[in-house]
Order: sequence, then structure tokens, then C-alpha cells
Amino acid sequence: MAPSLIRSPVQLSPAEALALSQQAPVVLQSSPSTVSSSALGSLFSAAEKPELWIQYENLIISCLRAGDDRAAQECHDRLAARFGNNDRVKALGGLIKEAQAQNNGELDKILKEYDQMLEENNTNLPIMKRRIALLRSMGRLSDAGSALVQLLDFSPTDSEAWSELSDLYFSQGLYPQAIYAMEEVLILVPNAWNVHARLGELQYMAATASGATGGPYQKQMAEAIKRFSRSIELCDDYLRGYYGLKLVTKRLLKDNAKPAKQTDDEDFSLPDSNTIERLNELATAKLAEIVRHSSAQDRGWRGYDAAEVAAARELLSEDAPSGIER
Amino acid sequence: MADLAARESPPLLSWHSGGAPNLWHRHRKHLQVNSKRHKSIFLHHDVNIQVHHCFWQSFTRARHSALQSFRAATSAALTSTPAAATSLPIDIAIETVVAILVILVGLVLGASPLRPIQWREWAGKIEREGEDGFKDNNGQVNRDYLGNPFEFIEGRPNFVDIRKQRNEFAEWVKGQGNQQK
Repeated sequence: MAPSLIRSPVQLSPAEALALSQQAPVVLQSSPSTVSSSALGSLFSAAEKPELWIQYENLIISCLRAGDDRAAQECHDRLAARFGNNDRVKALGGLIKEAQAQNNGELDKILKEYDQMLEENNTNLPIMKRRIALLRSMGRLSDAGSALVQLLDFSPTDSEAWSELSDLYFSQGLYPQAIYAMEEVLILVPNAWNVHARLGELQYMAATASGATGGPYQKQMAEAIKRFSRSIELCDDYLRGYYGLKLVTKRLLKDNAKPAKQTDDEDFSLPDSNTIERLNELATAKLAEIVRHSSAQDRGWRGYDAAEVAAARELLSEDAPSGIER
Repeated sequence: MADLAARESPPLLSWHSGGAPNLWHRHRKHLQVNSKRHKSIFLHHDVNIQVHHCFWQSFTRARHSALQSFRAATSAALTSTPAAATSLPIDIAIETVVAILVILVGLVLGASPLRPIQWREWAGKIEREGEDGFKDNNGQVNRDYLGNPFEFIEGRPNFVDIRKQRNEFAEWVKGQGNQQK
């Protein structure tokens, strides 16, 4: 079954994006081509549903991905007919142009158009975000970074932008900056379990990237344990959280690292090996349960991503000699 | 009947000054016997209400006679207190209770499944069951179901690199084509 059109299609697999884009003709045919925005006109035409506009936006992205430019243009035209030339519609128009650009010259032209629009209003968020994405896509990472910092200067509560900044730093290997930006996201949305898990992953990668096992390593591993534990606390049976917890505790047990002498900041010291052992056992048991139910397609366990379950199975099979794997 | 009632109903002032017609008196008396608490309401309503009076009267009479016979059967005193006058026969009481129970059971069974109210349970349900966990009785996914509401923070739809996604899609299609050959 194709995923819902209401949800953002960015993270979907190509097969799912294809299934969504194939729904475009049906959606375009079943909805009225123009919806009047005047109060009088709405009396005579079909009722207007807010979901329709979200569907159009998502369809534009899926259709562009699948190469169905005509349907994407049609969706955009309908949005433009309803909302006029507002910033969000303009950004979607820019998106279509970007997708159709053949060479760098055309991309430069689009970039100039964005710059022009920003000259009129330099706090135009949708266009600003498109410009940053385009700069990044063209490989001009430092320009994208400074534009992003500028955006966060006037809109510091934009969690999406902080997350983009974190990803941008991460792609350049700047782990401390990436962690800092992700922590800013967490300040804005403290209950987001996936952000906690993401931060744990960043801490783990930062700790293991250098290869050293000194003070910062232990501090970052302790942070990672805390982040993964918090994500599990916020979300029962969270595969990603348990996977991360298992990964971190396994590595710590393998290191057989004694907790460094209690340093000045108590908060970031590693728990004792007993606790790590128990956390590892808990994560192993939970992962085994999730993998078992999910591969049996049990009722109520079908929401997990198949690739994630496969990765968990692989991780479990690595300590098969210990006899926990089922 | 409305005309009749309108003719019969006196203005409030004349009622208080004692100039009420006979028919109104009888009507009034009957009401006093049967439902004392309606008195004030009727005093403050106008002509249209009188239409209902006629229906009310016949209905009350039937009910009253039923009550009387019931009282006779249970050999209760005819000059009972107002509380006794409003008490219902046991079969009506049972009927009412049974009807309420049936309605309640129907409502409970017909309602869509309850949703978790604890954050971690609700979040766990999204991760574990996905869309399956948020279907109503008709098997339709709830319209307000959006999956993980924080997905967009990692997906970042406004920063989407559409050219990269397009290329990846083209590669995937090629891969599919090669597999089929």
C-alpha cells in the first residue's frame, strides 16, 4: 500500500515515491481544478479541505523525484491559482525549476532569482531555505553554512533549520558543531524521541571517529548512553533507541574501560560496568523481541522499517556465540 | 384547537384578578393535581403553549388513570403526597433502565478504539504498529494520523535536495531494469 499523501515524502524509498507519484492523476482528476478563494464563490463550489493543499505540496516533491514534471507543474498551478503568488508557492515553483535545470548555468540563474526575491524581503523563509538547499546541492557548503547561520539569526526557533545546520556540519566532519546544533533542536522540541536518538548517534560517531579512548571519548559515550536511554524513555519499543544503546554498551564492554577517575563534572562520567552490562542485556532482549515479532509479521508489530529490523538482526547475530540470538 | 386554546387562555392579569373562565379553571386544577412543578412555566408562557396543553391533558389523563389503577392494585392511598404522584410503575422503570444500558453498551461497542494517553505508549504505538494502530472500525486510517510528528526535523522537506533525489531515483529505476533482465 502506498504511504499517505498527507505525510512528507522526503524520507520515503524510491519505490514508495513512485507509488505516490502514480497517484497524481487520480488526485488531480478527483479534485476540482480551481477552488475559489472568495467567500461568495465558496458557496457554490465544492468544500475546500486543507488536506488537499498538503497533498499537492507532497505530490510536487514525489512527482519531481519520479520525473513526472507535468503533474508537478499542474499541482503548482493549482496552488498558485488558489493562493496567488505567495512565498511558499514561489519556493515550490523554484523547486520545480531546480529539478528541471540541466546545467550549472541554469542553476546560477535560479540562484540569482532567489537573490532578487530576497532583496525585496530578506526574511523570506521559504525562499531562503530553497536558496540554502540549492547552494548545498551545488557544493558551495561554506556559503550554505553562512546563509543558514544568517537565517537562524533572525529565526532562532526554526527546528528544521537547526537540524539542517547540524547535518551540514556533520557532512563536513565537524562533530562538536553538529552536536551543538542538534542540542538546539532538542531545546525547541524536548519530547522528540527521534531527535534524542539522532543526538545519541552523533555522540557515538564523534566518540569513535578519533579512535582515541581518552577523556572526551568516555564523556561522549556516556552522553550517547544517556541520549539513547532518553529516547527509549519517550517511546516504548523504539528500535532505533535500543539499537544505539546496544551498540554503545557493547563497545564499552569490549573496551573493558574502567570509568576514568571521577572528573570535575559528575554529569558526564560513565556508569559502572555492572550498569552497562545490564543495559546491554536489556537492549539485547528488547531487540530480540522486536526482531522476532517483526519477522513473524505479528499483529501490532508491523510498523517497523524492514531495513532497520534487518540491521538489528545482524547486530544480534554478531554475538550469537553468547546464545542470545534466536 | 389552537384557536380554542387561545380563546380560553386569559391574560395573566385577569387570572390574578380572579376573572378566569370556567374551562381555564378546570384545566388549571387538573394541572395542579398532576404536575405542580409545571405551574410556573405555564404561567410565563404564551398562547402557543396552550396547544400543547391539549395534548398534554389527554396524555396526562391516560397516564393518570394508569397510575390510579396501579395505586388501586397496590392499595395505596388516593390522597397521597406529590412525591408518590410522580413515582413511576415498576415496568416503566425497568424499561428505562434496560434502554439506557442498551444505549450505553451500544455506544461503547460502537466507539473507535481508545488511544493511549501516555506519551511513551502513544509514541511506541506509532513506531511499533505504524498505520495499523490508528485505524477506525471501518479499517480506514485516522485522518489526523501523521506518523511521528517530529519526522520533519530529520526529513527537512523545505531543504530537500531535489536534484540529488531525482538522480537517486533514476539510478534505482536503472537498477530495477537490470534486475529484470
